[in-house]
Formats: sequence, C-alpha cells, structure tokens
Amino acid sequence: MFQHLTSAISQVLPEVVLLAAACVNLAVGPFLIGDDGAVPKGLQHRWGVWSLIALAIAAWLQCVPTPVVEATGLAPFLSDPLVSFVRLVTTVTGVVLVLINWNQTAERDSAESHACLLFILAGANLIALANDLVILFLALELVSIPTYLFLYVARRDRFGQEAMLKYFLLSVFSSALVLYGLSFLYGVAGTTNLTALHQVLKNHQLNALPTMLLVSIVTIVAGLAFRITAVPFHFYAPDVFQGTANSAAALLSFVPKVAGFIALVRILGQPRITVADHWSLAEKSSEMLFLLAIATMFVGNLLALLQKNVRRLLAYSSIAHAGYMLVGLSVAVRAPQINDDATSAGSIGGLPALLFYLGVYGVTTLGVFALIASLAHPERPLETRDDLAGLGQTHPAGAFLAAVLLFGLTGLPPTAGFLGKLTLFLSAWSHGTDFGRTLAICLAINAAIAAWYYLRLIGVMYLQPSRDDTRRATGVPAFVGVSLCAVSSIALFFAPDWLWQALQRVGG
Amino acid sequence: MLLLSIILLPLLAAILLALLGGGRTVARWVALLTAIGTLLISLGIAAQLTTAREGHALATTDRPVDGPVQPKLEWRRTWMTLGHLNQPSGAVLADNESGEVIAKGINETPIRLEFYLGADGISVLMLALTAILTVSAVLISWESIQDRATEFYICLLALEAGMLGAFVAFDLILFYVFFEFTLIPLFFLVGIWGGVQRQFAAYRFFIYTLAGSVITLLGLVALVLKVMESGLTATPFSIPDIAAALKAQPLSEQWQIGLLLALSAGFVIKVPLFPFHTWLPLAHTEAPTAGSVLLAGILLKLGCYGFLRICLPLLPAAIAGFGVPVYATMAVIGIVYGALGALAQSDIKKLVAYSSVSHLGFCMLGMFALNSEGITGAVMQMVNHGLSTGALFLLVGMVYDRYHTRELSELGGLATRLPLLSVCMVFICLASAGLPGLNGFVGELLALIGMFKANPIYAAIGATGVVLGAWYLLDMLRRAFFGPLKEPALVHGPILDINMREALAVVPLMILCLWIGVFPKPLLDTIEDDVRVVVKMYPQTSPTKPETADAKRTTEGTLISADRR
Repeated sequence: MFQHLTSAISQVLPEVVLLAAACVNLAVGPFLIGDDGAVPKGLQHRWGVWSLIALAIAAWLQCVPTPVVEATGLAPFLSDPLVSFVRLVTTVTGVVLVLINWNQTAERDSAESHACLLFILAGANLIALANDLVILFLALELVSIPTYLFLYVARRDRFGQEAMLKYFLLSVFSSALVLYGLSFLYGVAGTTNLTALHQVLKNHQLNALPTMLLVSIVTIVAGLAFRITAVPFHFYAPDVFQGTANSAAALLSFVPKVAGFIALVRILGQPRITVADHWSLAEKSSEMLFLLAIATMFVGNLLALLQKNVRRLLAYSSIAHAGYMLVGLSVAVRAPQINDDATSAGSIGGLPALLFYLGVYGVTTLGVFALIASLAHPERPLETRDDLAGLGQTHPAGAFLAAVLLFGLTGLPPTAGFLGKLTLFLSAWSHGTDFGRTLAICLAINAAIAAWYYLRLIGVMYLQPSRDDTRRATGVPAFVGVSLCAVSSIALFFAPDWLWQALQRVGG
Repeated sequence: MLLLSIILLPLLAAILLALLGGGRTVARWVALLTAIGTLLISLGIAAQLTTAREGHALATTDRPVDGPVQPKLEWRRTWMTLGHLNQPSGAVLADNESGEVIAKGINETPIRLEFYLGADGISVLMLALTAILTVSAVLISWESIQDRATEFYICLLALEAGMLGAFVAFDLILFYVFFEFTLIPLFFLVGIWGGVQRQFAAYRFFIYTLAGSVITLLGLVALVLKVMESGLTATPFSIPDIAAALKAQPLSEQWQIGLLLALSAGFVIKVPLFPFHTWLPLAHTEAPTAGSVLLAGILLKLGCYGFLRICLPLLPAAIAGFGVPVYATMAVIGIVYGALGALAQSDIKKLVAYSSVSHLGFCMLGMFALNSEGITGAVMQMVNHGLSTGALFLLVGMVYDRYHTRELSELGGLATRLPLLSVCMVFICLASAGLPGLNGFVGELLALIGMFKANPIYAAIGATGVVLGAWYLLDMLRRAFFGPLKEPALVHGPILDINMREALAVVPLMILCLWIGVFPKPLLDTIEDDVRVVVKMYPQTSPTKPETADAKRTTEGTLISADRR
C-alpha cells in the first residue's frame, strides 16, 4: 500500500512542489497583510519571485529522471513523452503567466492569484499524467476551480463579475457533462483505469452495447469542447475575454485548451489499425471532431472579422485556432487508409502536428495578451482596435513585438506559426483521404481569412497616426514575458527539430 | 558560404538597425554600404559559378546528372526532420535509367526540410539584378524619405534579404518561406511611406497575394506528399531531387494538372497574369519610389521565377498539355490589355505600372514557348524588365520629387528645364520599348521567336504589344518632355537637373541596358545550361506531349505523338 503510494508520488514530484508552493501562498499570504489592509512594500515582487522559484524547482525535478516504476500499466499515473511535453509547455506558460500577473492584481491579492496559477499549472500536468478516469476528472477540476477564483481576483468590477459568473456556470455545467460521460464509460468497461479500459475495448470485452459508448463519447467530447472553445460550445468565450482582466484572458486563451486537448488525447487514445467492425473510441469520434473542426474554424474566423474590441477579437481568434488544432486531432484519431497502391510510406502524424501547434499557439497567444497587459494602463486603456493606433511610434518596441506575434498567429514566416500550420497541412493531407484533404483545404481558406483581421491590427499600429502622441508606459514584467514569447516564436522557426523530434515519440 | 552570407548580410544589417536605432544619416549609410556589399557578394557568387561551370564540379550530391534543375553551388543544412520514410524492406529506389541508386535507406529514411541554398545561372542573374536595384533604391530614397527613415531602411534591407533568399532557395518550403516573407516589409513600405491611398493599396496587395500563395502552399504540400507516397526520392522537399525523380517517373497527367493549378495560383497573381493583375497598378502607384522599383523590378519576377523553377521542371505534362493554352492565352491578353491600359493613363507612374503588365506578358509568353529561344528570352526579359522598368520608376520618382505631380496634363516640355533627366528618360523609354541595340530588344525578340516556332498566332498577337509599347512610351515622352514648357503652378524651391546621387542611381542601369543590348552573350552563356536542362523536358513542343505515367512504357525521348493521335 505504502509502496504504491510512494511510487505514485515519486512520479508526480514536480506537481507536488507546485501544489506545496501554492499552499504556502494561501497559508502565509493573509498574515502578511495588516488588519487595516496595509500592504508591505514590494509584496507583489516577493510573490512573483516565489512563484518563479517554485516553477524553477518543478522544472528541475522534471529534468531529473524519475525512478523507473514496474510497468504494470495499472498505476494511477503514467509517465510518457506526452507528459514531458505537457510539463515543458506548462513551465513556459507558467513563467509567462506569472510575469503577466506580476502587477495585474491588487497587491493584497497577489498571494491568492499566484496560488491559483500554480494550482492550475499543476492540474494541467496531472491531466497528462493521469491514467485513471477519476484522477483525470480531479485534475480537470484542479484546473477549473482555481480558474474561477483567479478570474474573480483579477478584476472585481461589474464586468469582471459578470464574466466570472458566466464562466463559472457554464464550466460547472461542462464538468458535469464530462463526469456523466465518464460514468457511462466506467459502466461499459467496468474499470476506471485508462490502460485497462483501452485494453477492454480492444479485446471486445464489452459489458454493454456500443451505443452506450457512443453516448459517453458524445457527452465527454461536448464537455471538453467547452474547455477548448470549440463551436458550438464557444459562445461564452468572447464575453468572458472582454469582461475579465488581461491576465485572466491570457490564462483562458491557452491553459483550458491544453487541458481539453490533452484530456481528449488521453481518453480517446490512439487509433488502432483495425479490423473491420472493431470498436475504438478514437475511430468513432473522428466524424464528430471533423465537424467540430470545420465549424470552429469558420465561425471563429468569420466572427473575428467583425470585432473591434481587441480582447474580443482575440477570443474569436483563439476559437479559430482551436479549430486548427481540432484538425490535427481529427486526423490523429482516425486511422489512415491503407488500401492505397502506395506503400505505407511516411505519413506525418496528426498528433505531433496538433501538439506542435499547441505549443506554438501558446507562445504566440500568451505573448499577445502579455503585450496588452504590459501596455494597458487605467488612464490609457487598450480595449478597442483604435486604442492601438500609432503604436509604431508611441511604443516602437512593443509594436514590433506585437507585429512578430500577430504574424505568428497569421502563420507567416519567419515565425513558428508558419511551421505549425505547415505541419497541420502536411498531416491532414498525408492522411490520403478526402476526409484529410477537406480539412486541409478548409484550413487553407481559414488561414487566408484570418490574415485579414490580424493584418488590420498591425496596420492600425503602423499605418495610422496616434491620437495621443506621448509615449506609452511599459509594464516591465509583462514586457519581459512578451519578449520571451516573441523570441521563442522566431527561434522555434529556425530550430524546430528538437521539439518536433520529441513529439514524434509521443504515442508512437 | 557566399550563398548564406548574401542573405545574412542585409538581414543582420536590418536587425542591427532595429536594435541600435540611429538617425536618418546612419541608417541610410548603413543601408547603402550593405547594399553595395551585397552586390559584391552577388558578383562573387557569379565568379564562383563560372569556375564551377568550367570545372563541372559538384561532387557533393549523388543526384543523377540529367535532372531539369541543377544548382552549381550548394549549401545544405537540416532544418526539421518531419518523419521517416518507411519503405518495405527490400525496396530499392533507383533511377530507372542509369540504375543508379538514389536513396539507399531502406528503412527509416528521414524526411527533412532543409536550409538548402543553391545557385545556377538563372538565380545568379536575379541575385545580381536584385542587388543592383537595391543600391539604386537606397540612393533614390536618400533625400525623399524624411519621416521614420530608420524604419524605412530596415524594411528595405529586410525586403532585399527576402528577395535574395527566394532566388537562392532550392528547398520547396524554404522558397515559399522567402516568397511569403517579402510581403511583410513591402506591406510596411507601401502602407507607411506610400501615396494618398497607401493603406488601401497595402492591404489589398497583401491579402490578394497571400490568398494566392496559401493555395500555392497547399499545392506544395500535395506535391511533396504525392512524391513521398510513391517513394520516388528520399528528399522530397529538395527541388533538384524532386525534379530528377519526377523526370524518371512522372506523375499522371490528372495529378499534374491539379498540382499545376494549385501551385500557379500564387505565381499567377505575383507575375501578374491578365485577370489577376488588378492589385498591381494601385500598389505600384501608391508605393514610394524605392518600393515601386523593387516591386516591379524584382518581386514580379518571383512569380516568373516560380513558374520557371517549380512548375516547368516538375510538371511537364500539365504544362505542355494544359498550361500552354491557358497561360499563354493569359499572357497574350495581358500584353495587349496592359499596353492599352498604359495608353489610357494620365499618371506617368500608373502608365509605367500598366506597362509592367504588358512586359511581363512577354516574359510568360516566351516561357510557355517551351523551347530554348523562348525560355532564354523569358529570362532575359526578366532581367531587362527589371533594369528598364526599375530605371523608369526611378526617373518618374525624380520628376515627382521636383514637381509633386505625375499628371501628364500638368507637365510638358521638361526637356528644356531638365535636359539630363530627359536624356535618361528617352534612353530608358527606348530600351523599354525594345529598340534594337538596347536590352529590351534582345528579350522580346527571343521570346517572340520562341513563341513563333511554337505557335505563330500567339506570337503575332503578342508582337502588337511591341508596337503599342513604343506608342505609349513615346507618347508619354512627347507630352511630358517635349513641346512647350509647362510646369505646375505651385513649385517648391528651384527645379534643378539630375544630381550626382540620382545619376549614380540610374546611370549604372543605363549602362547595363546598353551592354545587354549590344553584347548579351555573357548573360546568355550564364543561363544556357540551365535553360537547356529545362528544355530537355519538352522534347518537341506542342502537338506532342512529354511522357506521362500512362505513356511511361515508351522509352524516353521517343515521340509519342503518333499513338496519341
């Protein structure tokens, strides 16, 4: 018993560190604030540095090879290359989010908001680690529940509360949907262990009709589609992004997507190269994901064309990007056709393409939100597109980085966004079916549509004169985050191989 | 290494300027020195190429020697290993002609994107042209760009790096990367420093071109995967390798046509061929002088270059069977339509812009003759149009700097006021109109001869473009430069004739025009080999067709026209 526990904990040490650090925040935080609400000087810097230290220790522990556990496959946690990738992503995300959050919240709340961030990051890691439906659900909730609090702490005016409430209600509803679906899955397979579950499905040892499985997949995908803002579960996103603080919008634009996609990958699993009427969760869900992908891309991009508020626009853009990633997922979960005359030569997997895009998108979108957080100021807000006018002159460095990041979202070279789109194209087309080709063509059309609204943002910054010619002030920590994101976006373009090689091993 | 440094030099200069800042004076000197340095490097590459050609030395590849794309200089590094080509064991990929093994990897051959730079005669000509025109572009912006000058030169240098990169890239994706990248600096050049309608022009140009090139990307992806699927080569992104493999084992004609349509979408817009030219007049007119020079001189060539480098060598059956009637028709319409459009203009710059549509039509017409005269003519026309239209834009810019108008109705008799500038203008107009002894003649003549051999009707219609060209150019000269002096009422400052700096920008181009017109042999020698290997793909043009997969049984080189009919 204890042996099991210690072996399990040894696998999740980095997450334990994050959770412990967050608990310290919550335990110590209140005592640093005086009874009259007086705050010691520089409190937010302390908590910021503390979070960075926690992340650094966690990162260091990730690099230390974990003791090999005997591979029973029934352990609650399972380390594989996907986990390393997710940990890498959450570490980078964590650093950027901490930098964005540095001076976004009121100083007296910074302990709590940083604690929420650390909880969320640990939760995202645990989703990847989970090898059990119960743990998976708990990890998903470890992402969601602190998010509500984070949203509330970050912005407390009327709009912030409306956004928080909207997110809370719909998120709880979607969690319930996922739970409902998971219970069906358990009912059919008779086990909550994912490895065992996939084994059962593979061996046809089904307790109930496949129809039950279908119901469970539909509800699970619907519930998780809320997290990844797939159409038609996207409608909360624009309101929440617009209503909440920049730091919270940054968080929402990326972390729930990681959570949702990784959970989907874990539950649906890899497709098996199949015999005729064999039942695999992945195979049956691909039609649904296909439709979701196409709807999400088109709705996201077309509605983004109409937006004037920057964060609302970015919300729709994040919906569109979820659509691109769904392309990768639908290709990944559908076994390629092997009846062609061609040899089974080199198809490019959908899963690596999806994960690569996820990473690239994360860096770019977090960078854009970090930039907004850095430049926005109560006296000089950055809400609408017109607020950006003339940024090329009032803040040249910021405008340049923004241009790099927005071209990254467009998918133009020399940014990693180009390679992300390219690999998605390649994976979809190399599927060798009309299914894949349709997705690739829709992706191409959408890439062209999306170029228009990103370009217009850049155009506003550079081609239009500013209303107010004084230089904009810079929020330094967030700006460090922006630079980090922009540089890694370009660096990843020139040296993508290390990441791509690592991703090739995922699920392979 | 020169190949790498020719891209890196302007890029690094741009990055340094961006990081360190510096005022207008610093920026323009940095830009000028960088441009001159780049020009020297391009000459160095040309020299290396000559040596390489004489020695026939390129022992670094195991590629069969008869592929239709053969860079003489190479520099390759792995960029991204996409996956592995899993061949059923025992299969050996071999070039079925020589029996030479192309790919020895039976299992786990990596599929790589590469930083694959190379140079052959055609790309060297384009490199030199780019470098020369960039020097002129910097010189002409010396005084006229006052506002945000540092950023201007950053954009200019970044643009130069992108254009040079496109001409030395021999990896399909790398070519596309540079092809796309040029959009970004040009968007800013047009949008920030352009004319009255600059924003509209910049957006329209960007979106129009991007929409086309996304389809091209899809085509590239489909092409690469098709090649990969059929296991023809282990390096399906390298243009020379893929060309050699497709020559040995062509795709079916249906596939080729589909791929041609997708691939050419971006190129057709960039050239631009007739119905897709609508973005061009506005962008050319609104761009600042330096932008117009590079846009007309180099960027349009990227479209032609794309056809020449990718479509012609890789998809012979589609080009011969489907491409010639479609694209040659578009080119012919473009020649006449562009010329008539130019005739109707009252703005000199717009007139020059429309003349580009017409001249690029000649270029494409020559290319789709698919014989050595035609393709040689097309390449010559690419260079000539770059020189003469670049110079025309420079001169129009000089007039505009002096009078702040380009309207023909407001100008007249400038020859009395600006004698030297008028001499240059007359010279360049004659070069552009194709006067024998100047460069335009060589290109147009070769292109028309080539087309005449292939299809006299296209050539005959196209030839009217020469007449119309002389008409609109000479008419423009007559109205603006001769007759009684007419100047706009409001003129700021004294009107001085061409100065040293402007002369340095335009005179080298004039000398080159004359040199090519009188003695084109060095240029023709440079591209001879490269044209020959492409033409070999098209043993007999029109009625016959090159091999396709279904006609593969016949041995190579035999005419298959008999059984076709």
